[in-house]
Amino acid sequence: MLSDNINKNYFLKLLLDIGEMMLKSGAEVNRVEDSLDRMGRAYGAKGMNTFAITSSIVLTARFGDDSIVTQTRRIEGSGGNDFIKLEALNELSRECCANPVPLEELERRLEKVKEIAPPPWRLYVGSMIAAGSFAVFFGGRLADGIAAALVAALICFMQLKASEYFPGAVIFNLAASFISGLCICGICAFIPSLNSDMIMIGDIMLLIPGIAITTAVRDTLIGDTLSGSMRLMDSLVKAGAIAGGFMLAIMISRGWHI
Amino acid sequence: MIVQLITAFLGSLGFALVFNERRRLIFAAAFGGLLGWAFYLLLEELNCGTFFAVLAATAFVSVYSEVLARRLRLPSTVIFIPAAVPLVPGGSLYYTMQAAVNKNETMIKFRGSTTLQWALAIALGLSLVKAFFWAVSKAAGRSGCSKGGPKQ
Repeated sequence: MLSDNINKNYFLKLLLDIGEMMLKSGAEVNRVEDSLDRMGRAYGAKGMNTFAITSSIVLTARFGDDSIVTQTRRIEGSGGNDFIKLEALNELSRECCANPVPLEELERRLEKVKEIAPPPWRLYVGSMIAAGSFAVFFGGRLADGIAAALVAALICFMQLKASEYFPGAVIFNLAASFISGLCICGICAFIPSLNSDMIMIGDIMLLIPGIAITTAVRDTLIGDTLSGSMRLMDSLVKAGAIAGGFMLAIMISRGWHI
Repeated sequence: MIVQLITAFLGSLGFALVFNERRRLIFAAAFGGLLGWAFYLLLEELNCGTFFAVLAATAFVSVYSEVLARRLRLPSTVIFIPAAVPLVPGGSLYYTMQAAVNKNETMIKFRGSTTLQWALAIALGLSLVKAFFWAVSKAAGRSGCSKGGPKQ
């Protein structure tokens, strides 16, 4: 099937497409390496050499005629989560391993997977439910939960519409936390019976990369030290930015009220 | 306590929505969040110490998601990530930050180390279970494409 070099390169491009989408929808690094290796073998590669980190994939395949093809891909914006997409990719790679479809067919199916995206209402409703629940979970009252849910809608709006205007996720988190912190302090100044601590915790739960830290430690423990350290640094800096943003907001609002 | 269980359920459900979970799985993920927190509360009640309680609760959630994932042939992260969210130390991080705002050095150290220990406990709990399941599928000789392979 993969007789000439054009086909081999085309195949590697499709593999990298799959890898990139997997990284961007929340797959672990070793899962990406594993899936690409297996697909490569299923399509006739004799040896597969895949190296993935959160920001890059390097892929080398050795074919039966001893020709070797390498491609690399820079991955930007990995670390998101889209489980329907992740499942679809998982399914696709499993099926293609069992029954390698022609490359055109594979590309067509990839295009279909590429179109999967969560509808905005899911993000809004989910964020509001999550922030509201966690405000109550950590000891707030129902009113605190409602306030946290309202601010969560604002955070969600910023994530969807404004994040592209910031130079990176860290600065965006800093700004988003600062703005939400100011809003919460403002709301609490008008309605003093609200508990600003609990509202903030609810909204912090939306922003903090808690799971990313877990993934980081896990990557490190199973030997993907490089990805682990990258994720760890990334999440620690993000957590710092979030704490810093809320801190600034609290300080400013206190300054106004003293 | 009942309020915490309900809100843990809803919190996980919210995150499942945000992460674009398939409709059929949203309930499973949210229920995992509830079970994990219930297990944590139980261990705290038995005075096991917070570190161990968080570790064991995470391990519990992880087993729950691995078993479900194997049965339904999914990547286990799909269940684990939303279900583990109630165990994330968001409150602890906030109190660390509050201590920093109040310039209370002792509290910064105390709250900060609690947050770190908590995060470490989650990671250890997850890793132990992952390692166990990996070893089991390795021993069972499951490899090759059609069967899912050891690293699923």
